[in-house]
Amino acid sequence: MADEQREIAGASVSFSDVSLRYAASGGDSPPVISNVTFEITAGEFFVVVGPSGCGKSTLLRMVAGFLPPTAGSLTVDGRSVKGPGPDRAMVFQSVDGPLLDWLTVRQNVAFGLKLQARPGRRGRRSFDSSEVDHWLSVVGLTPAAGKYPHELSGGMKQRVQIARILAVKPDIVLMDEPFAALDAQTRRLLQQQVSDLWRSEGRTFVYVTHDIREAALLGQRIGVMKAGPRSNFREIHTLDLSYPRDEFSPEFGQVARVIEEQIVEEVMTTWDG
Amino acid sequence: MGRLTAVHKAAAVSAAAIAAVLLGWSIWAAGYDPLLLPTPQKVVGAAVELWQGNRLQDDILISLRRVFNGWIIGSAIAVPIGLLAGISKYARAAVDPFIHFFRFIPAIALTSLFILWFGIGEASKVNLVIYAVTFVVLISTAAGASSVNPDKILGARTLGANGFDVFFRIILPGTFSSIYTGMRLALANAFLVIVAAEAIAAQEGIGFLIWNARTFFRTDFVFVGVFCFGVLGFISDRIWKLLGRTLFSRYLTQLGDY
Repeated sequence: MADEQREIAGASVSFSDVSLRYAASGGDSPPVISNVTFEITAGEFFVVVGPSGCGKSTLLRMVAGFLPPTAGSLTVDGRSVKGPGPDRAMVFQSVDGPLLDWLTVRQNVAFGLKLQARPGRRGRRSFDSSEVDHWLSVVGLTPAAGKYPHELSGGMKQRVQIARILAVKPDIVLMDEPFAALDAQTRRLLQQQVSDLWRSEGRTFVYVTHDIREAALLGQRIGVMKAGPRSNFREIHTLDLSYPRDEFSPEFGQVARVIEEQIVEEVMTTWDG
Repeated sequence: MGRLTAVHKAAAVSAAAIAAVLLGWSIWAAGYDPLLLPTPQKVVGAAVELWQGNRLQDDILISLRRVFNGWIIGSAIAVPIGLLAGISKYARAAVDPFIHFFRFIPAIALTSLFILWFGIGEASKVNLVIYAVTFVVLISTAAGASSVNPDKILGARTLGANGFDVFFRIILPGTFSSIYTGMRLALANAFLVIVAAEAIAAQEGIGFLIWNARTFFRTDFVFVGVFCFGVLGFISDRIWKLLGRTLFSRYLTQLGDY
């Protein structure tokens, strides 16, 4: 099973001159993101940071296929993104939103696998309950398998979200501030777990956060976005730091400080109109 | 253990409150003509009299059947329309004007029309209950379906769900608690309207019992009928709640305890 997983090296993402304007806000409003061009390589851990409202989540939701670009081209492994699909599964910030309240932890983790096991599915795979067991144990939820989401803590719910998307073996794992609503200790443990999972699974991770320490702990590259609207990347930093990262090392502190300063500068641009 | 005693205490308070009201009523009624206000004892006697004549059982069963049939059929009509109205803005635009017009027309106002249209048999009564139930369940269902958390839907889409899966595996179970609550409220409406339906052009049923007793100055029978509605409504509500706590409990985790 481990060998089978290692074969999948994730998928690449390519933004080429991509802009997005929300249709609901009328045609004359400025685009949220404008002329974004960058690439995420297969198997990379890419983190997006930036001031509130800069369009970080928008970027992620475009990769997920929830929002089609208004202009430009967005491709995954060279194929244009047409809509959501299990090759790009997403962990949401909302702790209570995405899980299905009427299903147990085990059934929630099995949900995507069962969908893919249905007759007539493209790339259909048969349902194997041992896969569910595997992912439950990876996130340490085997003892809670029979519980319902409302009986879980926030951290446990996010682990269910992680298990249920990894179970469908996505090429790209999308995470939208997954731990923002959790307490500091839980967040720290889960960050470590995500980092370990990325290294063991060999998939592409795209991770949005407003927590700079978290970004520097996880990312191979960190894209800092400009303040919106018409947002774009200000700079994409490549972190030449080994894993697991030592957040008390001078190099770590240096990277975090530079990114922090850039974000503060971006926030300031929105203050005096 | 602490919880159990709290439950027992609450039950004891309820029992004491009922006893106090009965006692107060008994004292109060002693000073009145039984034609105006019969004592609790007299009402119990009337209930026994009706029961022994096999009238009460028949009337209860007939009224219950009308309420139950109307409630089930009305809900069966309301749920699919409500789901559609909740998920499609066009379906909603189509049904909204009618919903918000008819829901302000009390079923009681339509009694004579329904008798005209559906005759004096069962159909007019059941249809009136259907009318009273439908709009409550429909609005509750539509509100529930439209407020299913979008992250549930998007999350399912990224796991490979198509539109069909989203409807049957996310929207429908996600709306269940609203349907359940809507049907619970509609049940009370069904009991309200059955009195009106049975008051006119009926030969049986608790509503008929009440209206008929009035013409014979049997105020004690009126009281028996009124109590029947209260007790039947209470029992039906408890059965529905029990089903919610057992059979449907996994769908109702987001509901409060009331």
